Amino acid sequence: MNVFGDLLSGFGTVLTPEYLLYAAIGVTLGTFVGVLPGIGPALTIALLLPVTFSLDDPIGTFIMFAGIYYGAMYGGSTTSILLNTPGESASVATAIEGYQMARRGRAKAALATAAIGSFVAGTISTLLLSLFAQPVAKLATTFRAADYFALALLAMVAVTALVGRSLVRGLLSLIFGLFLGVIGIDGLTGQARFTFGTMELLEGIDVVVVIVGLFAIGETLFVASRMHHLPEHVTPLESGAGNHKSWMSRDDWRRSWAPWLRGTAVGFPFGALPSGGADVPTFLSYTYEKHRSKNREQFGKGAIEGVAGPEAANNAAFSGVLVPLLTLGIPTSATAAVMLAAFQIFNLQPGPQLFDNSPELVWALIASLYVGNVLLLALNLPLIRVWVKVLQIPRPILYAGILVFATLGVYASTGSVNQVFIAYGIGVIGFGMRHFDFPIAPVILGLILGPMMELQFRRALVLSNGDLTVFVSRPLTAILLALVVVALLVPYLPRIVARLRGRPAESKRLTFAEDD
Amino acid sequence: MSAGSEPVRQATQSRRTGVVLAAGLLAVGVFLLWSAVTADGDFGAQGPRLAPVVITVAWVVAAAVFLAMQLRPQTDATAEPEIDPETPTEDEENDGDAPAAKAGWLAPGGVLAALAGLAIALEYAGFVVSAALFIVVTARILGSRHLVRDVIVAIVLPVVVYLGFTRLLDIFLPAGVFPL
Repeated sequence: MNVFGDLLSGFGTVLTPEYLLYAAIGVTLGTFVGVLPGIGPALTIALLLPVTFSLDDPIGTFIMFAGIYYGAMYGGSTTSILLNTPGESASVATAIEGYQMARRGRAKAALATAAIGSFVAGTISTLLLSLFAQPVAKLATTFRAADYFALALLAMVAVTALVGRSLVRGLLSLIFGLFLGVIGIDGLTGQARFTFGTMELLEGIDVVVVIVGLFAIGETLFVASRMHHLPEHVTPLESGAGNHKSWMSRDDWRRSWAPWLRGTAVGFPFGALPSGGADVPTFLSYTYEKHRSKNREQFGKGAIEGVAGPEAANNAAFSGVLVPLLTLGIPTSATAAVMLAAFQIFNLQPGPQLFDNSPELVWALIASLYVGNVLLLALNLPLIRVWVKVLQIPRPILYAGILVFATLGVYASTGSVNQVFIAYGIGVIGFGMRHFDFPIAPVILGLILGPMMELQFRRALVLSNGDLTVFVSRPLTAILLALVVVALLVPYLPRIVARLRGRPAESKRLTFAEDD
Repeated sequence: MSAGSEPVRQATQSRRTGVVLAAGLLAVGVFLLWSAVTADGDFGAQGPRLAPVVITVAWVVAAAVFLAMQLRPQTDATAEPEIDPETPTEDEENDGDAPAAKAGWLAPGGVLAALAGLAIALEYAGFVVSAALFIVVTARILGSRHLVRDVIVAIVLPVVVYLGFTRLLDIFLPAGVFPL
């Protein structure tokens, strides 16, 4: 009852012309940038952060961000289906079947099942978010510093262990992020760390600088190094005769609705758990649909279930990711980490207090998710021809433009050419990481969660007078730390099971995706 | 596949790259650990010096494991994914934007040089002029062969962005020589 009252007042805030305009600008910008090949939601938000610097209205800004994020996801699926270049790992599963459908002249059906599936999943999962957010926030008020330390550790380790192909590479990425996080002046004592005597590093390395460096500059350098490998060919929407009239046939609907719901059911909880956002649930959904489907022989050749399920899971996971982000202040994916940075620009600290201190903002944000979903459905399919035009922007111009915006973004947010050079340096490292197959997402999480973790660790010790048992004396903390160990072991489960049964280990470790 | 006749040599080469990379990571880790340990301050659990030491120790350990994995013969289930050597394939469609030259390390190097030029010129020449030059040069490096189109984009885009940011959003951008 209470929730619906709050939600209603959230809708009251959002459904004013001004905020509707913010939402519309957000979804349009997000779709536009998200459609651009190779750009995922994290980079979309990072590139568009400077746009918000002059806005002094946090509610409007976050309504816009929600729109940008959703738009980037919808746009990303368009690119995956028509161009087979997923901008983030969560769209990889969509690209597998979606591109095959497009090649067989069923592009419109693939786009429609992705968009409608996203709408269904987005709406259901936002409803779940509305119901769960407040209780979790209530629960979170009982969390202590030691619990936050354990949670942050769990989020970091889970992402590193579950995402990407090699644990050692993931750990090295994570450690690099942690290292970037300790650079600068220590918040509690004012001592400089790893500044090597330079003034520029005293303030630490800004998240925006790292994200722009790794995703925009690193990615563009990587693209430049292998221009030959890029697919340039945009699959046409229709192939010749017959397919013009409808988006989805009756049969398509019949085959899509169950995967949508199953995708939602997988996506939301996995998004809410510290397991790296949408990567794991999209692959789980894809695998499940592949094994369950009556049309199994169509998989790999354009099965509509393989688009419907993962797309729904992807969208549902976003609402799931918002649960720990809003209630605990803990980001569990690279994109959530960027959202957290956006919150911090407005001096807002997500966490249990957010629901008490700025209920208007929280509920307006949640309400804007419903609105954004509707807007996207209205925007996406009818305007598909516009987005196809965006896809056809020549690559050299596109990447030159991205680099200009990346430079602009760093310069506008820091006002310093030296910071621009730091971003370039990180970009070179990002290029090396892409080239040598290191995942990127753990760097961002290490950078964001590392300092948070250190602060809570030291705070816990100060409160307990330096007694280290504070981390195991409370059941909640101990359970969370045990889960960290479990997360590290999960990828090796198949092999451990095989060993226990006395068979030689033939299967590789469980993997789900690359980073985004 | 390029030079399919010499897969063995290629594999050796990519393995050597992996070893050099791992050794480099280890060296950087050791240096950072040394600088973390030699810093003065409180190394206690509540002090600011512990985290850097913990992180750099983890770095050294992870890099050492990585090095060991690179040195080990890669036959078992934990085999690292092989570092993809550059294997240029034919472009499906050549609409004039595909690069004529082999990409390799030349293009990223060129882009990086152009970026450095952009950052240096930004505060002297102003945003519009430096961005315009950058777009033309970078598009060229990335394989564009449509100079006129590039120049038009290179003039229109920075001007629109400049006006949008400074007039609509009140964000400062260096005007430089551009008389606005």
